[in-house]
Amino acid sequence: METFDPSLSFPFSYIFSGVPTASTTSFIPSYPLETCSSSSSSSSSSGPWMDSRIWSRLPLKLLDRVLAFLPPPDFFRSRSVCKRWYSLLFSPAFLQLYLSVSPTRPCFIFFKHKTPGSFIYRNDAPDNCKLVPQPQRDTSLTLVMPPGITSTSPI
Amino acid sequence: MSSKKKVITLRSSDGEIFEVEEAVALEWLTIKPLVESGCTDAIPLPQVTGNILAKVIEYCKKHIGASESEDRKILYELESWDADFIKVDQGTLFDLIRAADYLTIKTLFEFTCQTVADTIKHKTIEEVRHIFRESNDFTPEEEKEIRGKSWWLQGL
Repeated sequence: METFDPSLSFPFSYIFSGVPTASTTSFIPSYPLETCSSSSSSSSSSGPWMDSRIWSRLPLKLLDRVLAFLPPPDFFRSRSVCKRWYSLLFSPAFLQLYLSVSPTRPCFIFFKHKTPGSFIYRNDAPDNCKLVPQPQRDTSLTLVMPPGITSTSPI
Repeated sequence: MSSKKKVITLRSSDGEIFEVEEAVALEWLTIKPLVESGCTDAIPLPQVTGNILAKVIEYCKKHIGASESEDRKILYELESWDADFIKVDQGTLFDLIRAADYLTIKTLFEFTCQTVADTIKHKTIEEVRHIFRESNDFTPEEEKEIRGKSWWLQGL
């Protein structure tokens, strides 16, 4: 897993799409409002109370699995919790886990500009995620798609 | 399916004995090899207490075969049953996640993880840090920059 590197954080752009059709993916945000509570830090608590005496004992391996079940906007929001959570964005192992937990979740795509060694994730079949290294490009991208979507074309 | 149902015996960490159908035990990948080997002794599960094992068995018995059903009515009823099943205290939910991981029960593990994820997605960053006791190790500048890039997440 890569450690936090502020230089990786810019420039970035992230795009989500809704549940894709088999032939095309339209990169249109399609999440309902309630899936992402305000990103401001001072919002009041919502949802059931969670006891830190219990949940802080969750092993990191299991915590990562839980994070893999967050919808993409919430997962992206959670990256500002700490550097370890942030680094999950750059962890191929985590991104593959993220892909594998739900074949029906929307596409999850992010672009890394001007960094060598981009990757494209493709799924040819459920539980068969592949990491496909791409030739070095000025503008590279990481593409994570649910099973059944096989496009690996640079966008 | 008409063959007689073989029963597997399990022993929890606190010594409780449980009997489950072989078909249920085969879904638990950690003990699957033992089950397949024809083990007739009680299989010890030293990391799972009796009360949690009872919940795990209850879930798996309900889900065996039903999860793969394409009958909407069955799936709807299962969803409703799941919603009631997971109305447990946080300690039990925590233990269920650990048990499902230890026993490698995919359906229960995913369900329990999803339940926790559904809860934390409504929390603020500060609340999440507190819940998992993660300390904010960003510099104020780094945090400001990251949060500044989150504007587009609002409303998603």
